[in-house]
Amino acid sequence: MQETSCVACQAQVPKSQAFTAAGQTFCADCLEKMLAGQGKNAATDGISRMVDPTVCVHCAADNGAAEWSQLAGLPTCDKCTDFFRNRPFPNWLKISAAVFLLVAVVAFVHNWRFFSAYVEYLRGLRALEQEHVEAGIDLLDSAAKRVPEVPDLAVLPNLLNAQRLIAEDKNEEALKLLAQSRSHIPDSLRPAYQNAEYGAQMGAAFNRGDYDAFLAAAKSFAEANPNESAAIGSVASAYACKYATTGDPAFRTQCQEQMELARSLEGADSEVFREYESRIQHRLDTKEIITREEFVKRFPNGWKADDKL
Amino acid sequence: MIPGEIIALLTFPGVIVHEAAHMLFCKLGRVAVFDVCFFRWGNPAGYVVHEEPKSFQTAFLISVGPFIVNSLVCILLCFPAFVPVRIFERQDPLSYFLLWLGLSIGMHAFPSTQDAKVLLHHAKIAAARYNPLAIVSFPLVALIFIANIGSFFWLDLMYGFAIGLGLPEFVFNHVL
Repeated sequence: MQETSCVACQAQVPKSQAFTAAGQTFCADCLEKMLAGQGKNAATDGISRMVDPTVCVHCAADNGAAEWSQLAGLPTCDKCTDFFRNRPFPNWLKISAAVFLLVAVVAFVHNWRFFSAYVEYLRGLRALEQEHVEAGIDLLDSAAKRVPEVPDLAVLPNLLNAQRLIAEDKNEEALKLLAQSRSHIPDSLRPAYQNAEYGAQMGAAFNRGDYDAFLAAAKSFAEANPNESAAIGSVASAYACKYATTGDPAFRTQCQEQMELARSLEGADSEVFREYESRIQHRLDTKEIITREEFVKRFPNGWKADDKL
Repeated sequence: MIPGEIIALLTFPGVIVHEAAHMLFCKLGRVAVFDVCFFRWGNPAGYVVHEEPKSFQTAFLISVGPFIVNSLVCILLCFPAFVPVRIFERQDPLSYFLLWLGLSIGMHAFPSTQDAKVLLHHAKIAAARYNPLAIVSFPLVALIFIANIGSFFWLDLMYGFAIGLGLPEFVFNHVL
């Protein structure tokens, strides 16, 4: 420890406890007295504590005659230097960080099925865009099953699966599937969903021979799609069924009127429509109602008759 | 206008992580830390008092450390909550808690004006010695100042949302 003398009282004081003011050295007591004498106007700007290079400024550890090494320009003992250079993070911070990390990991694990579902959903949509329909439906299906509490996710796969079932003539199954998502359909899918439902209703009614229900569903379908030949053609098909079962010529006339209208609409020049037209013609000519599969089997080149619609 | 103290209080985890990041890079650079305050009611809401770094690289990392650490922690915390909340709109308290935590931390990622001043001071010295990182730092310092001005218009919060929610959305839609 180094000592110095106070210019006011001449006392020897430890250098680390002395002060300089206006270029002179003072002990703490004399400095206080001097400042008190100056009253409120006392200037404290030029006052600084003296530094003893043998005493640590942080913990006051005395190194005898040897000087401590300096840290940021001030004598600092080895212990304080080590502490400042390796200052530990407080325990509360370490514990908080560990807890929050754990929460994040738990949340990640807990929400993993949501991630998987969303990734499958996106991949499913991409597969559909690339016309990989089967793969797309499977991915969308899988996504919906992972998060059953998100019914919206099941709408698109249910719709696509329903369309697939309708194409396979499994209309009752399609209706059940569509019913599952009825209350969650987004506006963008509503027309496609509605059409699928009409299609399934028409198919189911046709299969059980309920031609009034077939006609009602076909009319709704046509009302929703007044410019589509397939929709108007389905009304004609239903009237043809009614004519075949009742023999009432009024139904035949209505069938012909609807077919005439359908022919003038978009899609009438398609292969599908031509086959549909041929089946309806056969129904009117023979009053026989057969499934599409049977019709194709019996008349692979379509129905030929003199009677024109 | 909401006082900075209130914002700091509502997003205090971000202040804590910000100061912890400064301290972390001090420790990594073997720079003595004399005092640290992780959070307090006042301005600044937190601070780290450290010795002058010996190299510009260390000074640079100490200044921009919060940007790196806060951004990473924000992503880490928001990611698990992103899909349930943002995509599937699940009302999950754990996910909302993580989002608050993550966004609070993310919005304190910008180095402060004081950090920028310290970086500028060191950059000037190092640039005089033709340190390339120091030269590159000048526009970065300008960006930090601009970002801090932008904080009056919630740029810091926007940044939090961008990396906490925008980044996962980008990753899901364009990478996975």
